[in-house]
Amino acid sequence: MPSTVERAGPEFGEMSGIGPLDTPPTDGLDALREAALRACLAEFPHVRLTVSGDCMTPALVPGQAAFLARPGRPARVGDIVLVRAPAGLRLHRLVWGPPFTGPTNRVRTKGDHSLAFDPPLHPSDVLGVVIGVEGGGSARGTFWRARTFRSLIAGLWSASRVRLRWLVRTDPALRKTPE
Amino acid sequence: MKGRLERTFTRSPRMVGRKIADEFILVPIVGRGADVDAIFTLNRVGAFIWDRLDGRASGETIVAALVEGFDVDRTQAESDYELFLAQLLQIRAVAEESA
Repeated sequence: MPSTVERAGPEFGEMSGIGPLDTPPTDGLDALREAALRACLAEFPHVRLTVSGDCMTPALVPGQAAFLARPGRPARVGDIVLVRAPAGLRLHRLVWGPPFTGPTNRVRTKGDHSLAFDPPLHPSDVLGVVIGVEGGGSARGTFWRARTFRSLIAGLWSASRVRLRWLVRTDPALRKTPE
Repeated sequence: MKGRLERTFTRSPRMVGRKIADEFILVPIVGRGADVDAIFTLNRVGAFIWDRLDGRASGETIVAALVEGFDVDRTQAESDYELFLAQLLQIRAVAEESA
């Protein structure tokens, strides 16, 4: 039986600010963060969270508040979405999604400043969509079409380089033979 | 002047409590939405006290309920209640009920 009344103990500080979003998953806490976010998104018209990290600048800058809502319709390419990625919760741009997902039904997200795509995700991993930002800017950021296209091309380029390197390493015909 | 145990406190409308994944959390409300930057978790005793801060039960009543519901003596329960209440006041999760 508890003999003291505590305010959540040491995890209090970690929970205050349900992020930073790029915090690596931790036992229990990450699941609680996600559960709390899902519950808030289900109950309230929107949730407010502060952006951390600069991978989405200038659309989202660190310290800026973003307003998210539960996706009422499938998130669209170009939307900035909150996803549950293997590395934790991420606020990234959807660069590949329905109706182009094909039979695998996987969506791809990427930070505007990241080099590579995030791992493929199921549409249910999209927890929320940014519907507004502090200061009244566009929810998708300025020039979002160009940014989405550039992000997609950069991700494909990065993926093809990785694949090419792998091919060169594994295919003897492509390896240079010593003279 | 009344001591804190004689006073009654009520939960602030800008804070909602929810039980999620076996944890009791407090979520601040901003406008019509939730501010997930400042979610607080409460342990079992915290949630017990939070439930009773309805603007009617005095500190005395809540401490008595604590002593009855938990394995704790009155002195400890009073001290814990006051500490917890101070923390709730600090984050403006409760306000004193005016008589």
